[in-house]
Amino acid sequence: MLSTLIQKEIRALLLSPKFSLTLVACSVLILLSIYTGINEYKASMRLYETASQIESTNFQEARNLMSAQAMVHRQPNPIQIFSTGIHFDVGRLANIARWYDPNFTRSIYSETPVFALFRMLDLSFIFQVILTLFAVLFTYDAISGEKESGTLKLTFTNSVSRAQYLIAKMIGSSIGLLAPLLIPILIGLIMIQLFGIHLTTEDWLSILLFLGSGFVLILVFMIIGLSISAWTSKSSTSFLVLLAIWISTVMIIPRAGVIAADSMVNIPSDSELASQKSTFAAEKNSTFSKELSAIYAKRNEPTQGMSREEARAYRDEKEWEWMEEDDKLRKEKDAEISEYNTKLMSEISNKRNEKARLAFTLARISPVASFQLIAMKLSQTDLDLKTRYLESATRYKTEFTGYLEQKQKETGDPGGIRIEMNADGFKFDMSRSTGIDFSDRPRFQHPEVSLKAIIPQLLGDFSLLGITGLLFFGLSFIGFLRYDMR
Amino acid sequence: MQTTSPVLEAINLTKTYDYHVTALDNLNLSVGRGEIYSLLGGNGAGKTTTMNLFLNFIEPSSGKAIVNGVVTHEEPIKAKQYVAFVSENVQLYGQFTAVQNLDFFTRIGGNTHYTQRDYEQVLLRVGLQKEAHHRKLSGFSKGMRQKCGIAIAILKNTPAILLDEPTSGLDPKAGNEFSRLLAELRDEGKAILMSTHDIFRAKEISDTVGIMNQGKLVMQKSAEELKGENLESLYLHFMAGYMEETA
Repeated sequence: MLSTLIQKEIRALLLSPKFSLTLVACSVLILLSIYTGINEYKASMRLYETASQIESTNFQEARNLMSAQAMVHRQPNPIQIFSTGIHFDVGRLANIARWYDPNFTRSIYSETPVFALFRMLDLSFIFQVILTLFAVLFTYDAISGEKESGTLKLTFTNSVSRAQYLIAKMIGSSIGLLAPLLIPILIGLIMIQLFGIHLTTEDWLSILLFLGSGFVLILVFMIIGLSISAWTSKSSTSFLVLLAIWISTVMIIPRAGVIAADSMVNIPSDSELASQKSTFAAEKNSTFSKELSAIYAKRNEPTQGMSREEARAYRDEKEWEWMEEDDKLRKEKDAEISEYNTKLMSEISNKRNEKARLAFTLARISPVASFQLIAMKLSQTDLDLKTRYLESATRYKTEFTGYLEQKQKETGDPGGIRIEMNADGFKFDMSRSTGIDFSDRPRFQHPEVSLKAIIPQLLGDFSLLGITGLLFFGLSFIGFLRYDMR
Repeated sequence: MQTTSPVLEAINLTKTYDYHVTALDNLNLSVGRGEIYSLLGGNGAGKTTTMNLFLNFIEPSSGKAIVNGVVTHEEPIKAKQYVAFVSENVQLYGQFTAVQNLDFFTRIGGNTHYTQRDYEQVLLRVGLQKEAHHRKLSGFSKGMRQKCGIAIAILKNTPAILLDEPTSGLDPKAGNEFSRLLAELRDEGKAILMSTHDIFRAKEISDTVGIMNQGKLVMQKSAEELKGENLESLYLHFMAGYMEETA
């Protein structure tokens, strides 16, 4: 019985214009999104590889500590072909310097704002917006439409149980919608291989999980459609109710969650933060300058009464000792500034995390938000992307500055610009030593999150999707048990 | 004429909706094997309510509807194994062909052994021309859809058949063909309960005729008893009389 009902559903869908429309629309959109994703990924990889190559060349050509400039480039992830997340919003590179905290700048959207205007058409977007809408279109008249056409009554003059009928509707509609998706998705996966994009086993598993979560999202919307259809006697009413639900869950709730969280948790803006940091640093630098001036004055006291040559010889003799003293003081000052900045950033980070948690909790009322969070986690283009890179870059900064200090000690190069003023004018000395080999410099370690670490983070959102599906299936069952078949 | 134990039976069957609207009031009737029972009555007389109770689309407020010994509201799935239904306006799947519709509805009726040839033969029997067998239903006239509906009822091969105003909107030729089919089905031993406005056809083919008005069975006569009587006059008499009585 169940198989007969399912076969009928599939056959009816195959013969309906809905199926042809879905097949064509899905094929075009999915293939276009994967093709765009591949091109975008390859462009990002080219940019990354070129930037890495330039940095490497710079280090090869660098012959002194002043010219040794480290940069961190964010590495693209192939899963972003399917879900770009915040990849285009986060900066691509960060300069590593002793004097300031690393910050990733030059995002794709900041460099090419026209992309930000309409965002990228990735498969995640198609699942969230297009396919959820198709799911609603496939099911809004599942029950009410059959009642209107009179076939429901004739069907139930037979020994068909309502549960069987509902399950058959669910399975049949799901196959009818998911089958047209599989073909372009499979072609898309083959395209990825043909375009020479290397995917590891973890990448493949991530893609499977991403597609699985997308299918679950579609199923949830189909169940919602079925449920509303089982509570209404007219398909036009069912359609209107579902349209309102679709707009709320896809368009409003995820954004409203973020807006509500934003108004609940107050966080200083980036410019306010920068202002706080620079005020603190300016105070410290000012104090440091005054201290240095006093120290310099004290150091020059013994040279009173000396000839210029004697004074110069005295200063040359003391130079290294004084530089070490200055350096120590500067490091103490920098450490204080750094500590303040770290503390400030830690507080801000905690508040941001609190806000993000609140925003996610509110947004998760919508299954679309749950799916989006799953997709972003799997493609590692989630909100933590920037934090992960910043943490790695900060660690790298410590390693790299340590390395430079080591080189400084080894070579005796002060590592700064020496400006000498005498009666002959100014003399600039960029560095005293040349030919420093930087091939043993520490390399930036990209923050990698294993799938094993990601999966536990997905369980909550998968459970939410499952619970939403079960809840609406229960509602559809209750509605259908009371449904007037006449 | 009822010759065996009833296949369709209504015992004190009553259906009252909210606000005490009585759609069916203490109905008692029975239809045996090889019998055609016609229910006559105006709109809102309770004929369709009776059908819906036999199909368990609604539950009785009191009393029972029994199909082949099974109380419909107690074992609805089982009861439906013994009854086929043809409505006033048979609605099938427009995107399927006649044969595909027959295949689906006979399968869910529990008959999975039929072949395409069986479907075609039944369609020919009900008078649907061969060239229409593999055409989509969306282009069918009401009469053609009715024929498909009867074909489905025949293929379900149940002891009871319910017909809710089946000749409504059919042209005289199609109506006559329908009467012939009903007679054949009676001869095969089916118990047929038909609601209709067609007094002429009811008298022509029925073994028993009941007249309903405002939810009550106000008259019930066998074909023998109706011999020599003018059913149209009786119908008008009972309708008018009952109305006077209730006025």
